[in-house]
Amino acid sequence: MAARARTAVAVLALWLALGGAAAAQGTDKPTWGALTPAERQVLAPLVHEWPQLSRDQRRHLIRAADHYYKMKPAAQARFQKRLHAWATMSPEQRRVARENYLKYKALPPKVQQSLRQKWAEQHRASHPTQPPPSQPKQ
Amino acid sequence: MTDPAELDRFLAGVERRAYLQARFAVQDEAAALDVVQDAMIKLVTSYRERPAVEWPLLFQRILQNTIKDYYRRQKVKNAWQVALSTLGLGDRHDGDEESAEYDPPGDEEDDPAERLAQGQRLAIVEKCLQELPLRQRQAFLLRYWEGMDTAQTAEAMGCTEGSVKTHCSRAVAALGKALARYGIEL
Amino acid sequence: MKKLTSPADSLVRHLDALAQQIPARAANRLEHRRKQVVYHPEAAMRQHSSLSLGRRWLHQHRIMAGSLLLALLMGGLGAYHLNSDRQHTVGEVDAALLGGDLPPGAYTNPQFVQWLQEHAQQ
Repeated sequence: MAARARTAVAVLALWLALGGAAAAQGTDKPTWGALTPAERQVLAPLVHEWPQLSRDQRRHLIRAADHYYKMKPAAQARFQKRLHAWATMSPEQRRVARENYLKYKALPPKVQQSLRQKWAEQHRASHPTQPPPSQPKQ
Repeated sequence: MTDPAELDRFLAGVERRAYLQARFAVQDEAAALDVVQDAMIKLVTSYRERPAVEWPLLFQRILQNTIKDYYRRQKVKNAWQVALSTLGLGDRHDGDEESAEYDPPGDEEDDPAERLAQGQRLAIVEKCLQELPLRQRQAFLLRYWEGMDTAQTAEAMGCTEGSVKTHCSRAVAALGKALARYGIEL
Repeated sequence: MKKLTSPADSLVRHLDALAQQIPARAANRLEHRRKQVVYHPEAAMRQHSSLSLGRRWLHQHRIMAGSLLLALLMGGLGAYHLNSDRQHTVGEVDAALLGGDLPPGAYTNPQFVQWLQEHAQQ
C-alpha cells in the first residue's frame, strides 16, 4: 500500500518536473521587442540582423550584453564595434574563436603581449595604410 | 599584487590534507577534488590580496563551508536513493571504478607484510573517521591535524569555542572506541 | 604547522601517512587544478562551473542506473540547468572576447592560431 502510494507520488513528481523543465526551457527565439531597453542599447548594431539570428545566437548575445555593463569604456566601445563582424561569422567559426580566445587568455601575460605585437606587425604588413589595432593594457 | 608563486606554494602545502578532509566527508574522489578546487577558486578570487599569514585560516574557513555544502547536497541525493530502494527501483553500485584506492607504496625496502599491515591500519583509520558526524570530524581534524587552536577552529567552523571543545572531546571518545574494535589504540 | 601533543598523536601520524599515500591520479589532478586556479583563475572558474555540474549530473545518473524514473527526472532538470549554465558561460566568454585586445577574426586566423599553438606548447 505504502509502496504504491510512493510510486504515485514519484510519478507525479516526474510529470511535474518534466513539464516544468520543458516550460522553463522554452523553444522560442527572444524577439527584439522582448529585450530590455539596456540590452537593446548594447545590441543596437544588430537591430537589422536580429530577425535572421538563430535562437542560440540570440541567447548568447543577450548573455554577453549582460556583461557589457561590467566592462571598461574602451572595452565597451570595442565590443559594439565588433558585434557586426561577430554576428556574421558562422557558428563553427565562433566556436573556434571562443576556443582559441580561451587558449590565448590562458597564456602568461607576457606571451599574450608578444602575440599582440606579432598580430599588429602582420596587420601593418598586410594593411600598410591602416593604423594598427589598439593595444590596451588588460 | 600577490606573487602567484607564493599562492601556489601555499596551496601546494595544504591541498593534500584538504583533499583528504573533503574525501572523508563526501567519500568520492571526483567530488572531493571539486570541493578542493572550489575552495581554491574562492580563496584566489576573493582573498589573494590578503596577507599570506591570513591564508591558512581563510582557506580552512572556505574549505569547511564548501565541505558542508557538498555534504548537505549529497544527503539530499542519498535520501532519494533510500526512497528509491524502498520502491525497489534503486540500484547502488558499490564497486564503483572511481572509488579511492590506495596506491601501492613505491619501491620501499621494508617488509611486504609490514606494508600490508600499515595499509590496513590506514584504511581502518579512514573508515573510523568517515563514520564520525561531520562537525565532530571537522573539529577534530582542524584542531589536531591542522594544528589550530580552539579559537581558530571556532572561526573556521563558524561556531563557538565551547562547541569546538564539545565536538573534539566527543570525536576523540568515538574514535577511541571505534579504533579499539579493530585492536588499534588511540 | 605545529601539532598539539594529545592522545590523538598517533592518529595524526596515520593521517599524515594517508596524505602521503593519496593515489597518484588524484594527486596529479590536484596539482593540475591548483596550477590552473593560481595561474589562470578565469579559465578554471569557467571549466569548474560547467565540468563539475556535468560530472555531478553523470554521477547521479550512474548511481541510479536502475532507476529510469529518477534518471528521467534528473535528465530533464539536469539538461535544463546544463543548457542555461552553458549559455551563461558562452555569453560571458563572448563578451570578454568582443571587448578584448584582439579582433574576433584573429582567433580564427590560421597564422595567429599557429602562433598560439606554438606558444601553448612551450
